[in-house]
Amino acid sequence: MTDDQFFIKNELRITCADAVELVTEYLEETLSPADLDDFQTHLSLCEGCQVFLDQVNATITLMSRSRQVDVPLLPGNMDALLAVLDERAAQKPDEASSS
Amino acid sequence: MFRTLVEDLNPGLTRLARTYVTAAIADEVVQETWMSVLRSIDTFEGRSSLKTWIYRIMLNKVRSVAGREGKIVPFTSVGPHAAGDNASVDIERLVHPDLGRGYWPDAPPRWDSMPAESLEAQETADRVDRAISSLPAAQREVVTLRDIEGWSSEEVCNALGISTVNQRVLLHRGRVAVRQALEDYLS
Repeated sequence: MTDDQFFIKNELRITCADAVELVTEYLEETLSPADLDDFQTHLSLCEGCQVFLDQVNATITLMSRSRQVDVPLLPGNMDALLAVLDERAAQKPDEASSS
Repeated sequence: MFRTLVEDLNPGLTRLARTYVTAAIADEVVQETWMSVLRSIDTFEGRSSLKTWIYRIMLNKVRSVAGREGKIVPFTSVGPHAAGDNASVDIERLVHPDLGRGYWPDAPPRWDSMPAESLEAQETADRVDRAISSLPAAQREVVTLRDIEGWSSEEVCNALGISTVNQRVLLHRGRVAVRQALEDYLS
């Protein structure tokens, strides 16, 4: 290894291969203070890992939009469920008042 | 009160069930889940939240139905980046001309410099859905509950009966697999 390579690797603290594995822990705020320091230092010097982190964030945003997909608010057997509920209430009048 | 509970939970239960089986079968599984909830509510011990207890009932049902129908996605059919390959980025990509293995040779293309339409296109959303459905079941459950339904990690651990560390690993694996699918599609 040349002095330059050694110097750059030293500045980066960790490899990109290690940094990309820490992304979720970083986002979850579960990194130890030492790992957080290494990760943030690496990130500030490494465009590849910055882009990777941005892409993971963009992926999370896109996934959260899947929520809008149409699904039924109520199950198709809602009437039958309410009938069972009524039946139970009739059997246990004392509990029905508290539920 | 029961109706409010159903309205709160039915959409999310349905979305998760539909990642296992067809929409029609999933809707039936969720209907059966509610029936089981009413019939066994006396056994609910309050050790978990009512929400995670109901999800556990649904997951037991849908996993067994999916197993019967042979609908569980086998681990090997998950695409080029999942089976047996645990790295978040293909290690063959991380080879820098000077720094060597483990470093980006150059940054991957930025998505925020792409026209907004490509990220917001319906086709991109379909790609995301497909990538989530083809995740191994354990990753799919965690990703769906955390990133689609917006649950906390604690709630997910309770509903799925997994450790915090396991939850985080599954979440990471799932997210990076979906990111990779998006990158493959967008590039």
